Amino acid sequence: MTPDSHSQPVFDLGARLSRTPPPAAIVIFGASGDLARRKLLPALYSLALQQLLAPEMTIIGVAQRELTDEQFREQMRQAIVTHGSQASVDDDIWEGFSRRLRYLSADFSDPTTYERIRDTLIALPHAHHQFGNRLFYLATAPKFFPIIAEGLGDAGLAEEAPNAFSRIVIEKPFGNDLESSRALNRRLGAVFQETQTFRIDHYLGKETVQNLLVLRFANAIFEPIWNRRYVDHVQITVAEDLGMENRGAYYDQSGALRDIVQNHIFQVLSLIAMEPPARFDSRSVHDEKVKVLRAIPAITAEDASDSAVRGQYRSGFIAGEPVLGYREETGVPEGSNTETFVAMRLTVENWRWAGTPFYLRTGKRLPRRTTEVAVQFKPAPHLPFAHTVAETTAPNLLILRIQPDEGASLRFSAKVPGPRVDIRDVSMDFQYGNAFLTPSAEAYERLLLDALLGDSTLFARWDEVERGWEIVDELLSLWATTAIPAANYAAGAWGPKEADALVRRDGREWRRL
Amino acid sequence: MASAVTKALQSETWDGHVLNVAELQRALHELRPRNPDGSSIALAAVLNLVAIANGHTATEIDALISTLHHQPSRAIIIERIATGDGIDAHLAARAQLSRPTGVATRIELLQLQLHGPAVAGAASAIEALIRPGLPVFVLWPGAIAPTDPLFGAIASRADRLITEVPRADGADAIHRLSDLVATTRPAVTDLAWAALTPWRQLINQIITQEHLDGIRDGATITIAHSTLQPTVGTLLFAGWLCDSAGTAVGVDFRSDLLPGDPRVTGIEISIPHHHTITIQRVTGRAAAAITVVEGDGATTESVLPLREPTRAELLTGELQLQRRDLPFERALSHALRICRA
Repeated sequence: MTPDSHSQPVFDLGARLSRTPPPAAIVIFGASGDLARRKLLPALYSLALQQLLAPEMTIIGVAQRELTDEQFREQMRQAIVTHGSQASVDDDIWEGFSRRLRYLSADFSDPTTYERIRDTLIALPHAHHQFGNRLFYLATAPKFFPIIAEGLGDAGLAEEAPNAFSRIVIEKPFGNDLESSRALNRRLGAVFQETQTFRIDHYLGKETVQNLLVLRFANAIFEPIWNRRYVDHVQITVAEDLGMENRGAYYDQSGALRDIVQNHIFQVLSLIAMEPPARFDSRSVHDEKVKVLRAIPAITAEDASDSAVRGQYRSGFIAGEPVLGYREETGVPEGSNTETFVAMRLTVENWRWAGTPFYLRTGKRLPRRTTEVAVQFKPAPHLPFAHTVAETTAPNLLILRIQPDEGASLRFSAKVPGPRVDIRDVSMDFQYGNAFLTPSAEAYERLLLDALLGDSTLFARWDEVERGWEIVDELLSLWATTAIPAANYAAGAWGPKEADALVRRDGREWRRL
Repeated sequence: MASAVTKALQSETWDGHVLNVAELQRALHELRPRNPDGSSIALAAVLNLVAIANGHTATEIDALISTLHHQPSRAIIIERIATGDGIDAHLAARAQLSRPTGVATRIELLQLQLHGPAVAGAASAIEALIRPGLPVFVLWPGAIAPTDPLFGAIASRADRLITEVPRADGADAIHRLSDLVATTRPAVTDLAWAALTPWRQLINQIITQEHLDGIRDGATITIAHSTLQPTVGTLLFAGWLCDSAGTAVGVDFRSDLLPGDPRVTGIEISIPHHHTITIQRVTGRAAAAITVVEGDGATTESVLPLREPTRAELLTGELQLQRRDLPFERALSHALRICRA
């Protein structure tokens, strides 16, 4: 994957060396919030440790809370200690890193905020070394996205000087539906061009999601069978055993379809189903992904009952412990109609996948936390064994586990030793940890680095986001206006029975996980 | 509580004095991890590592391997002893846990002491014991010895040959490494080159396009080292700078005699009429002090990370690469030119 532009010149980028982004000012809006403390600052510190931040890189935190630079530095040090991957903060490295941290207390709605940011950027000791390179990271509530973007635009901070960049990074949700998403994009697009806009879907920063591309396109054995002729169907599961964890009020505005399906699952689906890109550059990969999404017919009100099932958990047991139902969770309005489970049947109508259904499911309070893609192949066309043996043979199954136990396994049939031909399923299992002891980098490290390098391959392009909303928009409207059958699955179950019926209609079953 | 599988992965050992490799293969088979029902546990396998204990004991090499973050699936450590007869073998099958994930890799480790006449059969013993289907990495510490029959035999069998020439050898080692790269099949690298990675990354981190343009128009680079004469690592660093910065660059060396392991202690890049960039390793800290003096005299100072990787970290990095290391080969070529000059 190569950067689109503005990468740091390098002496040499051979084995072992990593590309270093050019000097820039990173401005984090919402710097005193959870995302900045838990993810962004630990990721930036880790990048500094890995010698990947130029010495002139400056990080300016912007938030409403009144803090001095020193207080901000101390809070961030604590955040790195608590949430970072390092066991401790190295005093020597921290000394250099903390010098780059600045803090501005500001109201995002106040136009003078952006003038102050501009003045601060100009006055930075390293400003002339940063060549006007700026990365604005919006770690704020989504309602501030257009306000901040417009404020930056009015202050002239979205303009790119020759050979310099000005980029904006936002994180989902990118709107609540198709209309609001388009409205948001119009307002952002009036200030920042698409090439300046980096939409984070942190799933794409996960090593194992990136490995989907490597598995598919670096192993010649898969591509010939990766199509309707050999694949019976695909199941994508994103299961969580957790409930609301004090996020009930937020989640109730969102629901599983917006929170997981429209973004994370569609991203994984498009990586699984896309055609091989000509090159692993941002544009080629995005073009292929969006072709897949465009090949998925949008769910209409008429076919909604055949294509999608929603559910909401009631009280039950998780790992032997009793847990509350959704409507009893803190922050969830009484009688809420928000779905905590979605199962879908989608088709990708192109030459490669016509007739091969993709089943998706995601939910809260499912029996275990797991994210995986299961590619089930068609059965062998003819088994030259006894009839009874053939009946017990399961088709080949390729499992790509994204979390936990990252890895892959392939199920195939083997003969049980003995005088008779007895066949049993066996699994060839690869776990990342079995082969590589080095832990994967945090998704945010990779994504921040790529944003600084201008490589948008692992970010969501607008046409992907828009198509994602188009696929589910009518379903969202339908579900918003019809009541969910109340609390229709017990916490600790794999969703409502209607989800089983969705796949059984096709003569298939959900994988038991 | 450890699961049955975890228990099965725990260390098991076998020791013996044998006269043939078949006995070792049987013992290895017995040490395979098994489920409680007796069936084998299959684990992903990545590579063979053959380490020749030149100047070290097998136990020392074993200790090094046990700290690697990229574990070989099978490691064969060969210690050659002129006296006695036969093969003393210590076989260990053990699990190495990844601390963050808690997932285990499984390593089969064979320490073989070849005595007397058995030394002559070392290469054939290795050939019979490497795990088929996996790449073979060879670690050869000490001086490169083209006349050693074992060196020739395992160099031809290796997919990647990792040398660790004595650091003080300097120019002599550069000549030997160059000959090796020119004449052997496998990808070759040396741990002295691997040790330069933090320095090379630091240069990439600091150099801007403006610097680079100035350097390529002609600059003088002075490399300071802690030894009397430039070591193999210092020469490779100089070679890499020449390769990366272009032929208009002149490289000088300066000796800052310091106790401890040989190392590069600093670098000064002087671009006429533009900048002077000074990078100095900070003694006792995993950091470097960087001073940039611009043409108008304006000075900026910063401190950036500059780690000194451990030997295990260096070897780990080399085991993660399977392809030829072209920057190393180019740096070596320039280092040879510098030595000849």
